[in-house]
Amino acid sequence: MNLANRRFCKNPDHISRVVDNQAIIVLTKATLSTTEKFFVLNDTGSRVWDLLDGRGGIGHIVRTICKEFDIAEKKAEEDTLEFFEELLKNGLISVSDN
Amino acid sequence: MRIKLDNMCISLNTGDPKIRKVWDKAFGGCISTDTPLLHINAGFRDFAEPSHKNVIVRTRGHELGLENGRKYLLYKNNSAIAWFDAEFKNVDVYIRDSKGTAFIGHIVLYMILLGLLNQRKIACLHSSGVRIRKRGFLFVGPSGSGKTTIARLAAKYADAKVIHDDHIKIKKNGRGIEMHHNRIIQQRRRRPEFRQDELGGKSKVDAVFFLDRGERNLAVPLKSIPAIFKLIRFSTLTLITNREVGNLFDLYKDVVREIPCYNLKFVPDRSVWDYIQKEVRLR
Repeated sequence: MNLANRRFCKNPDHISRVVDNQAIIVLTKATLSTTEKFFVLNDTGSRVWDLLDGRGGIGHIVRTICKEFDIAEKKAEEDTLEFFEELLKNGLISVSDN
Repeated sequence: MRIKLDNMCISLNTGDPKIRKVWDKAFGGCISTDTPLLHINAGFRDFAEPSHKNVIVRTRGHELGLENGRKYLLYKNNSAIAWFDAEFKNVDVYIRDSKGTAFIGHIVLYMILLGLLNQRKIACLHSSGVRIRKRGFLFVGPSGSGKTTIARLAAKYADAKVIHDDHIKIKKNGRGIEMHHNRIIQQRRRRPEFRQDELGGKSKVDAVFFLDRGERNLAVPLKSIPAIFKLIRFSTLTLITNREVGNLFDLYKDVVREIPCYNLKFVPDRSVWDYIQKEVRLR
């Protein structure tokens, strides 16, 4: 799926908190009897999660990540798209046409 | 009738003498005149079974799900169902047959009261807790992990006060993290393991252990994030809303920040208490 021109929204049924500089996300509608619906993001992932406000596409997120983490734009875009695919696969975000 | 449990007033309404009798027996000593936080309306009535399309949690005893925008709690064998409104102010309970009477006497109230406790940022954790010479130890784990065993060993060999051996209430106040006896969840079977004066009360918490049987006693420190996940997994939730899970999260962030957490492999004899008291770093 080409994600570059899509708009992303967080799944509304989630709770996230920051612990030890890492974002922890729990999908609340999923059963809590397994750990599979708990997610931990590293510092870059946590920042991307912060930036996901549902209004913009991937462009402004990539630009911010480039600036804050001193990463080349191409690399940032590839990593962000890969990260979004993971988020989508796990039901943490949904995607719509831009 | 209005009852008060854990300083929370609830209005129980029914036109059925059988249900009334169950409530009188269970809560006759807890009558209140306060303003109710929640109204429970119950009656014997047949009901349409939900479609089971949006099941949130299914356990041996009940199913929590969503149907037509409302959450429901369906009791085993479909003998009773409780429908909740969005604001968690009214609950309608329909009982199909006499098996469902236990539902109204125990399960519904238990789930609802836990929901109200959660709103006050009090968690109910599947755990046992003991106090030994002003030190509080909390043992968390699933059924069969040894919660009662370790509490019984503490009472026998370490002169412990057992706060509860299955479900502990956890809350934070000015003095730190505390564990409290849980009156809401009465012990469903008698506990010959404990004398009456060994059970009850409260304590601050000085260490949290996640239980695992082992060949020898060994406590391995646990980092914050896995500790939070485990605490949430072993907590009892009512409606599993964002707010409810968020309240747990906030409480457990404080727990793991303030209290050392361990994975504990243990041998079920008195050596475990010698080990804990000598080898484990406390708050």
